[in-house]
Amino acid sequence: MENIVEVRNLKIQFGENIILKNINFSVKRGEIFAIIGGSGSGKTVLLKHLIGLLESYSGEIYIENNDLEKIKKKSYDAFLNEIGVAFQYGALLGSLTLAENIMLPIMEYKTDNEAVARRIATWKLSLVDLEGFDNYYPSDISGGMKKRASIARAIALNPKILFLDEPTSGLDPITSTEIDNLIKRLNKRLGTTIILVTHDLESVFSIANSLILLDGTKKTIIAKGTPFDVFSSSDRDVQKFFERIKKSAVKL
Amino acid sequence: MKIDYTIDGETLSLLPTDMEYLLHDLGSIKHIIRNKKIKSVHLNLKNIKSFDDYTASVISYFHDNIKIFNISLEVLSAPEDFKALCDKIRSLQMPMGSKSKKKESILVTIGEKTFDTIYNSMKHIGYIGDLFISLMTIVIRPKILRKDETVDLMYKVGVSAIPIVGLISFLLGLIMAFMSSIQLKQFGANIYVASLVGLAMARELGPIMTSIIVAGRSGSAFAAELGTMKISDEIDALTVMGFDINKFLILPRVIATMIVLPILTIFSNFFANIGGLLVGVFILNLTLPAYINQLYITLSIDDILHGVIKSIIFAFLIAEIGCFRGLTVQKTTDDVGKATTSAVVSGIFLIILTDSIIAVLLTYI
Repeated sequence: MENIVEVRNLKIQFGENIILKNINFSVKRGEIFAIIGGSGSGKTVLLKHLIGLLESYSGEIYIENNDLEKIKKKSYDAFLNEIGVAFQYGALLGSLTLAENIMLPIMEYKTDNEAVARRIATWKLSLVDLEGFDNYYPSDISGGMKKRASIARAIALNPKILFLDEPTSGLDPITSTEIDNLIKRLNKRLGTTIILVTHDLESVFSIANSLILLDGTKKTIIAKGTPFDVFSSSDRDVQKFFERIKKSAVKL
Repeated sequence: MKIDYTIDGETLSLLPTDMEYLLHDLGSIKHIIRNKKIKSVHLNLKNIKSFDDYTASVISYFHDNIKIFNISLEVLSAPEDFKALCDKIRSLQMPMGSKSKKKESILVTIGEKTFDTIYNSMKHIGYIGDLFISLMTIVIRPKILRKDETVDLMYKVGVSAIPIVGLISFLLGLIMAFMSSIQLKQFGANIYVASLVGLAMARELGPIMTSIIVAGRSGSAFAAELGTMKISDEIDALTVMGFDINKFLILPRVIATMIVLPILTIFSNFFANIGGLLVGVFILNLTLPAYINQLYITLSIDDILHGVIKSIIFAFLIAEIGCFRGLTVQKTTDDVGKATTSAVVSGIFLIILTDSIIAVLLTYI
């Protein structure tokens, strides 16, 4: 399978403060790829660089064999049409209903016909199990539903790559499992490559094909591969990370 | 029509190259169906490249529109899985209308608005009552006031506003002196420019202009700050931690504004008189001592106190309405915008209304 995202020698730095260095990884078309690590390890910052929201980096980021730096200069709007992003807290526009939130990109890029856009919005909502919630406002629905609605908005334009920032954070285990199943279903049904940032290991092991593990102290990738490869790694830092997660789970 | 079509007996064959054309030509297609007594439509998609949910939604919409003619629609040259997608989208239950575009009768709207206004007024009165009780508590036990926060707010409301208040007042004094000088010159009463600027600023324009600027700067800021805190559940968090919102958030703002607005008003008077003085000295050829002497003779301590006391009342109104509007924010960021606008509009309205009431009362008392 060909690579859809490739990152080479990436170094992210804000002023004097180095966030990440020596970042090298690639994501294959159609796979579910997870970026994991503890709090403050630079997961979300890396994601924001991959979608071009932040630019404090040196090194190379290739999306579909095109240099992101060149994409940003020449065809960023077209690039944004090819990707979908669901933010950690949903980022749904509070003054619009769920259907209107999803119709927003559709009416901007696909069609001027409101009835058709509404139909697509209803379809997208049904894909994330929110059938019948078209006219609800984000404030009327639960946290899990907001996450699902934001995923529906992110897939509004049938993106080639879907970026998900902490899709299961702050959710109960049942809702987290529902979101995991939804991600798997979308990946299978739409063939979309999914890159997700998370620290939910259960989620990673149930849905990800491959992953990278970031370390906040070393400021780099300390393990990569399939979830099984990473979990069975003999590296001390990797083992420490999993032990810490296990301990916190036991405490809970 | 942008779509190629052929009619074979009672069958209309459509060959779109772009699905948008199907939407564009919908009216013409309906016209053909009606006039040529078409019984079936063949939609040939061999020139369509993308078989996604957008294409399926357009077909579904198209089908809904021609259904009324009781004719069949056959989709040709499309993959089987796409036909399944079309069926799924066609079977979706479309919600009736949109919540945001709900139209009510005018009577219902008037009724709702009236009840809303009454309810909000009652709530506002209750809020002012609570605020007074909290103010009294602070007077009795000043220790419970968050002094650092209050000083910080005094800086934000007062010190940061000095440049804009100074500039506007200076220009206002300049304009007043210049405009009045044109009339007063005719009677040789140039010297009264000093009296006019000094008195008007001290009693009326000083407190009003300063209050309007503070309402625009700080009243709106209070509404936006508290509104955002409400949306992000910070107010609820403080409440459940046992904090009294009035004492913790509102009183520092009200007290800070009540302390700095009178000081800003005095600054405003000072800068306006500088403006008047420049016109007096450089345009009306008055001497500096003559101008200052005239100002001294005209202005009494009562006049200055009159303005200062009014500005304390205005300060209370600006801060309390700003905070109240912020607390009325419900759930959306849209509400924050509304609250901010409302804080400024209500603040300015209350300033003018109160000033009028004071003017009438002082005339008859």
